[in-house]
Amino acid sequence: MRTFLLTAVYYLAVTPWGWCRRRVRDPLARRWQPRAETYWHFVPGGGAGER
Amino acid sequence: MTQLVLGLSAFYHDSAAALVADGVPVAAAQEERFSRRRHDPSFPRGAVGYCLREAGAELGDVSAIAYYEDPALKFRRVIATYAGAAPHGLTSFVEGLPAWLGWKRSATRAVREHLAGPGGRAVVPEVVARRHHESHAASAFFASPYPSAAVLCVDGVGEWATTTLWQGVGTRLRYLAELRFPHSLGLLYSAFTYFCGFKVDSGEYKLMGLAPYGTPRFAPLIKERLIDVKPDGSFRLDLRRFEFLRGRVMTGAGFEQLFGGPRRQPEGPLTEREFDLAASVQQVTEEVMVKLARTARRLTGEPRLCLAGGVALNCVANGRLLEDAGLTELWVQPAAGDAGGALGAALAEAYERGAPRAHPAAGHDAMAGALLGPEYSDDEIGAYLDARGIPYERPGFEGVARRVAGALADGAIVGWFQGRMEFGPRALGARSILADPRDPGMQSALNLRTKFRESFRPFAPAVLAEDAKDWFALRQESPYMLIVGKVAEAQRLAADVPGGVSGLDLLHVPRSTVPAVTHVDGSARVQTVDGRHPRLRRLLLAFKERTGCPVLVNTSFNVRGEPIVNTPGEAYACFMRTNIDLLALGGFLLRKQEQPPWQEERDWRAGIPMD
Ligand SMILES: [Fe+2]
Repeated sequence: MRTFLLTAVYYLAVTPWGWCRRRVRDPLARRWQPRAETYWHFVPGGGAGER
Repeated sequence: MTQLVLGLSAFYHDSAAALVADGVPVAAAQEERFSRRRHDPSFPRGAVGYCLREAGAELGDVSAIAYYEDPALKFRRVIATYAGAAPHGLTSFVEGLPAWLGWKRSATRAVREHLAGPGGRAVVPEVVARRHHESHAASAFFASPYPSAAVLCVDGVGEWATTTLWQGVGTRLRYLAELRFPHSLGLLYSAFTYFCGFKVDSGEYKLMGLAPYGTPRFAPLIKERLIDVKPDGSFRLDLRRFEFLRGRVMTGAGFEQLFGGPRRQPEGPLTEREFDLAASVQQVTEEVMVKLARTARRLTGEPRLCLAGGVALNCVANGRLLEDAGLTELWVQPAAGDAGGALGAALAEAYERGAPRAHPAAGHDAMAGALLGPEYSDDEIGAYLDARGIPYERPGFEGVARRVAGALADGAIVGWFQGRMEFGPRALGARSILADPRDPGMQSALNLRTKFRESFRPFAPAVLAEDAKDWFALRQESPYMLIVGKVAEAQRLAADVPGGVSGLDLLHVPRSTVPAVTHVDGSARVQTVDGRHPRLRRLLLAFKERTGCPVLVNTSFNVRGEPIVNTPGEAYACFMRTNIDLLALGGFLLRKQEQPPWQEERDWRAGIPMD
């Protein structure tokens, strides 16, 4: 029963929600960016990235 | 009044507890040593109890409990992963979500309940959650001997961060930059560990040991198809080639297409492909680590680097950092994996609460040789032996050291149980099996008949610090066995590898005057032994006096799949089950041939899971 419910939630809620999110911005940032100089996320106020 | 902070890591892998008193680690241990379940992820009840006993404290004396990660943030990452992987992650969703909706999301509450005990009676101090990588960074920098340094943490994943850069100054850590899940060097390495038929989260060390048997012919393919590395060391994985977002395994069809067929089955035969895969991922890992370290150096201006996170246990990569990353010094937290997060969380909390960080001025690190675990006095050992009628001699420690040195020189394998137990995965001479490294047959004898493990696995040397340079080419000390260096030129034999010899047959080619600790590529995972490990040092001096050789084989006191021994009883059982000839328990000496026959009701090996 629990498995059935979870499966339903997965396909009826998680999947469409995930699909929509990926259209806007992939939360897992999976795409490679050949032209980007870096993949670092610099921490605001950390002082890095400005040097 | 002493400020006590108790750090905990739990519920994922290798749970541990650590106690910090006025900014100084006074006790730390992994739960596996008490529960006897390797890498035990459960609440570290045994370790907590030990830490409090060691300090003579009760829970009520503790100012705060520091948990090593932020469960709420981790929960958000897990949910984002489900959404990101859909519709391909049903299995992991159905299996994983219920626990996350329940206790896992509020793991700090679970910690409080565990500590409160049945009926919630005990008064539990405030429980605070630190970030996973902050705990790693704190374990690396705050415990280091440096007043300031760059800090690099690299692991599988905690909350979101998988790789972080920091600058540590005094009692502060400045957070500079991060790489986020699912882009993870630790998970890349684990994926290859899995594909080569080893267990994720413990077989990585084996894969590193396998690498020197192969050639890195897949490295270009890995960099082209699996990981995109920028010149500053930042990277992304190609998740279409991995399975870990979708289910419970690391790799599948994506790897099979790239690397010629299905993964090696656990315990199956090792082929050229696994050697070469290991060599390739090792090479890529080293390249990325060198770039990351250079970036840490550049962003902070600090020439010294502190390292933690599971990938920091890759001592071969650490050796490369010293050679190629432009550092003057490197300090690696001996409990670099998640167990060390317990200590890091406690240190971060303690310094935030104003504890002093005095050890850099005194010129040493805060780890006390990593000897932060339980100790058993000679009285306790004697009581144990007498109660069981176990025959022994009691020459006292000095006599034990001299006799053991003689026996080692005559080829004996010795169980060495002395003082406080090590914190972290390496045995450093408190719970060790020791042997003569000059014996060409020793590597295989130890692997097959003492530790019952794979024949390819190398052994580490412990060397007197002052003699290290004559035996190994190391740029600095390596007190925690976390830096690999080549065996010194003077000790190497003209290693003409006969034509046609490759793979595991390389094991039989003599390479140095200390063949048992020389890996097939001429490298060694060195422990330099100084005053921090006084008893092992005393033994090395005695062995050198007798043989002229200041080096011993030092491997952990356990058999394959079992946690390192903690108590005299566990040491005795391991001694009797294996071909260890002599057991040194504090000031006591036990000889195998004088022992009564060892009997167990069941086959003990059936009770130990494969690692
Ligand atoms: Fe970690």
